[in-house]
Amino acid sequence: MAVSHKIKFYPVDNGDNVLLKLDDKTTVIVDCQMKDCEENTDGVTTYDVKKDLIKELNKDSKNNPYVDLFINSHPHNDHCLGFEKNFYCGSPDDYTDTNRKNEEIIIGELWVTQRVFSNDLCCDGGAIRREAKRRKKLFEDNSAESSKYGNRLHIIGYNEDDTTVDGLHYVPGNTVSTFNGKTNDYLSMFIHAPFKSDLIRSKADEDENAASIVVQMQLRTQKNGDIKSRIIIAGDADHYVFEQILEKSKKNNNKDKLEWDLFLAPHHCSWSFFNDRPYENNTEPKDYSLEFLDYKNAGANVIASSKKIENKKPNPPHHSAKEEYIRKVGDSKFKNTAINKDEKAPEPLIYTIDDNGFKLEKSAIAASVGIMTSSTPRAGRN
Amino acid sequence: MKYSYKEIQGSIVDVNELDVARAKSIALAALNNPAYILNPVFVKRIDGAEVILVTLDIEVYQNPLNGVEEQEDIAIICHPEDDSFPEVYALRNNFQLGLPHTNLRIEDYPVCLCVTEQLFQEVKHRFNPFEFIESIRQWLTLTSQDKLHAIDQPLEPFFVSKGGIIVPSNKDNIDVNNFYITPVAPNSNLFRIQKEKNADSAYFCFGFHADEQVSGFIRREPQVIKDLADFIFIKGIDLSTALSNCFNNLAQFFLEEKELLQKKVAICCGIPVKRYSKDIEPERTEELFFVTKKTVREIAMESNVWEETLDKKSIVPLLGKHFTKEIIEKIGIETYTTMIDFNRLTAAIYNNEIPNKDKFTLIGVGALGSQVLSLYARTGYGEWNIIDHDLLLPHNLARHALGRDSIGFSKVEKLAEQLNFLVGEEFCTPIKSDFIKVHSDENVISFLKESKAIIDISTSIAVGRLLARDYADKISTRRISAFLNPTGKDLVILAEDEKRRHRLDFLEMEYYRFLYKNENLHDHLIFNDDFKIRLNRNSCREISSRINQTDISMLSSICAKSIRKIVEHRDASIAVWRINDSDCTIQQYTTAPTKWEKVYSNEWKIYLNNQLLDEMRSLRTQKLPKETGGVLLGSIDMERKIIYIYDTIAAPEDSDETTSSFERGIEGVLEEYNKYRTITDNQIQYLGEWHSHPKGCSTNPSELDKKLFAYLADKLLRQGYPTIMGILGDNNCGFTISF
Repeated sequence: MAVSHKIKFYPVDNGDNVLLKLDDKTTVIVDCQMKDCEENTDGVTTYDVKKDLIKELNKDSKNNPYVDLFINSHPHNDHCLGFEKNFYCGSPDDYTDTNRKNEEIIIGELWVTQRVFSNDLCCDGGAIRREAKRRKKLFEDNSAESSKYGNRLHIIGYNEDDTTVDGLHYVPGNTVSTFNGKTNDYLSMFIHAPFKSDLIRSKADEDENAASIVVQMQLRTQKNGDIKSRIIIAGDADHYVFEQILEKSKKNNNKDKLEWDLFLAPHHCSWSFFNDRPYENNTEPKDYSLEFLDYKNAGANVIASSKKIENKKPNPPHHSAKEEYIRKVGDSKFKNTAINKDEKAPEPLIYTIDDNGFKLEKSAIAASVGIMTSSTPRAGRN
Repeated sequence: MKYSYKEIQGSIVDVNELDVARAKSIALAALNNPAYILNPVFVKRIDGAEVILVTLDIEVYQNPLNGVEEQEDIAIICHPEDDSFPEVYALRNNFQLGLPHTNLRIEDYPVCLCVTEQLFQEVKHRFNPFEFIESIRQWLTLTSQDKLHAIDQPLEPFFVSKGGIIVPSNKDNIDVNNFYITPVAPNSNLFRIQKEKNADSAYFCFGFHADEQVSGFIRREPQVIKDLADFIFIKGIDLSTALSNCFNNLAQFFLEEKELLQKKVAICCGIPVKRYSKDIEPERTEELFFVTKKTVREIAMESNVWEETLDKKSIVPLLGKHFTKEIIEKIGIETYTTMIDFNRLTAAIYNNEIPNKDKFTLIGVGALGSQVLSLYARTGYGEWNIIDHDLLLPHNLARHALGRDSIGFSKVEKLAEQLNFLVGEEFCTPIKSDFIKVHSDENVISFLKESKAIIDISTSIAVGRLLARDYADKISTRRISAFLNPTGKDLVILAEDEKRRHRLDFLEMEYYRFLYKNENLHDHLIFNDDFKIRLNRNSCREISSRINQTDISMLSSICAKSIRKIVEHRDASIAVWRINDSDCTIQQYTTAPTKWEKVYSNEWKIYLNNQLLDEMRSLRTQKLPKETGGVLLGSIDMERKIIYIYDTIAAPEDSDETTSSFERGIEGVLEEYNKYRTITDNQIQYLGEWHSHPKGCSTNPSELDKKLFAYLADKLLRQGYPTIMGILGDNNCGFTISF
């Protein structure tokens, strides 16, 4: 069988919730916004992300669901809502029947930024902080437990004092291909951000967005083979971050790290990727933002993980941002999670990635094409 | 409206204003499924046809092949007659031309898609408008991945043609300068290419070997030569120029052979076609066949190349005029669909079989043999030598593959003639002989040796035994014997293994034992008078069976299929298939062939079946320390002096078994023996007696044994049969024969 990976962008209104599932069953979740309610304020049926994740994720030897890697781009509610309820926090040895009954997902390895250790976080951000702290302590205590499944932690970017700790930090410029203790043949991730300066800016402005993790996921279909697809995910990073990404990548001979086949429009299709907000005061997109978009590969898609994008407030999502994206990739290549398949009950955008690149799943109805594709049951005339 | 194609012009209407029921159902399906069916617009044409215009959002890779785009504008046209699938057009003005599964039209655009291979009449009753639209999306998705076109389908798109041309299967042998076409039936539009001259033909034929092309070179339905000359080249020269050269070279010939003037010109172009431009070799050669709408005379006269003499009696060329490229380009043409003639290769493909050219010998082409061979011809299986000496008689028509026109002829010769004609090549070679008489002829031995398997459907035990035994080791080819039981309800196949360890005669004996051991088959060889027809043909008492052709037909198919499977594998097998008349099902019964060993060899050979030996040993062990024994049953081939021992009637209750002697009783022995004889149609017979010796004793006969043996021999010899006595010891058994 040909190797085939899958990436799902769940419809979670203005928020990010992404699942990457590789052919070898390795799973990565980037952010979450998992709601309990059945309908949102616009009367749209909420997609049951948890149910789908449980279907997609593997079970460990104790039959507990787990994800190999959870990346929290930054600890804002729209990137970690539902974390405490749906993801298991604590030592994996203490996972109880109650946790199992609730189908709490064990995180093999957790990626956060230094900003997650602040005290002024949202409710679920606090849960991530506590879990990150628990794991960090194991690491600092030199406990052998820290390198075990369910306890692994990496901090993306630098410490507050601009330092890094070997084995604990990945910094911009690193390429990572070991996840949850296993070197992966198909996936590597180039760390673009957060940069030191943005961590400082983030702290100073109390704006976690600026310190979002930005990665280029590189997907292969065979060990040491060519990269078949590049996916850039950037949390809520703004245009200042991308200005630096562009500059540093060019300077460090990393232009290939700017390329993308799928780009998750930052901050739910916010204008902040193109310029400062409000849009009305800064209607011109920055050249470097547009230049970054030009690193798209043929047929590339932009994904807006947001509410339905309309030309009205509130925003994000910004209609003007959508128009800029469409200008670069074309109308049919701009995808919005909120309107996939059915505006009133959207379903995840599911891309499969194989030797031929990516393909967005568009099966209309599970029913077979039927008469047109099957032979008539009576033969013998010819 | 974005597009100005005439096919979609009309008034834009609301869905409720559509009158054609099928158009309305498709329109509603489009409206009800907005996820991937975008921007529906409905148009009523002036001719009553109704059009659904939609943009389909398609599942494609990021870099789709064949120029397919993620969103394609499509027109679906429904006609009031509702006698065919709605027409489907891709509207984009740069939609790739020449794709497989497109229907050629006079204009390049819009491109007509062929979205289904079904016949509308066959699926009309369950036509689903949504699924129809889905089939269009599927067409586009698969085309974007280059997966729509099956490997065995013609590379070029389909266009409506004037008729068909059957091309010989060995088309490489067509002499493009010397071939003829002839209608397969009077007034038929289906023609056959042939080498033989056909003076009555309305066509003058010639052909070209054209230059290589890549799939998709035909973009529109050709109307005039110019439409073809744009893409057909002969050694770099365009078709119009090549044809003008031909016309000029042939002009004098045409004028001299006056009957040619009234003929139209039929042109065959063999075009090697690659599937992809990157391919090194062409995948196949497509034959493009077209015919001028006008005769040679009309073409020449209308283009002022020739003129009639004043007396109107003849035609002469005009000075300085000749057939120019421009004249040729304007000649109107009609295209004909070419189709490869039926042959063994296509037969195999159409039957979903792997083509096979192995050589086989078939002995016997009676009812079963002829029908099995016909099945092999139609499935393109093997190359056959067929042997039989019978003539076809009227009563054979009930169940033979041959027809009335063959009555009185040799079965093999007529069958070979008809099957070779069927497949259009040498499929089988007839040998009109009695196999038993010619079996040692050099040529017979030669083709038996070359055969992959010798298939005996002679329904003759004599032939079976001969095949099993009489060639010694001269022919190593495995033998397979197939026959029906007397009522024609059961088929039996006995197949030797590839190494011939299980020879046909052994399999025959095991088959008899199997009939006895399997209660379901006890009536297998029972042949009541109800099934008999007495004939006065080869002898005054010849009997034929009342067998139903439907049964033979069913069993022939099983026979043909099973033999093919057997040939593919190495193992020996014994199998019986039985038709259940009440519900028309067929049950298979099988038994695994077992080993035999030669226990005595002098003037007579005695073969003992190992399974029987095991049974005898088991009986001995059960009775130890006493002796035991029983009756030996088997068959005798008097001609070859071979005795096959393969079953026993164990010591009955009234036997006297002691530690030093054994005296077989009689209770029930005769009944069991008679039952065995009935079940096997007397193929099994009494051979003698066996008994065991106690532990540690030799298997040499005691004095008492010798007396017994002399008694038995005396009785049996009077009837001309040899007598066997077997003695079973600890590890061996001894057999004595008297004749």
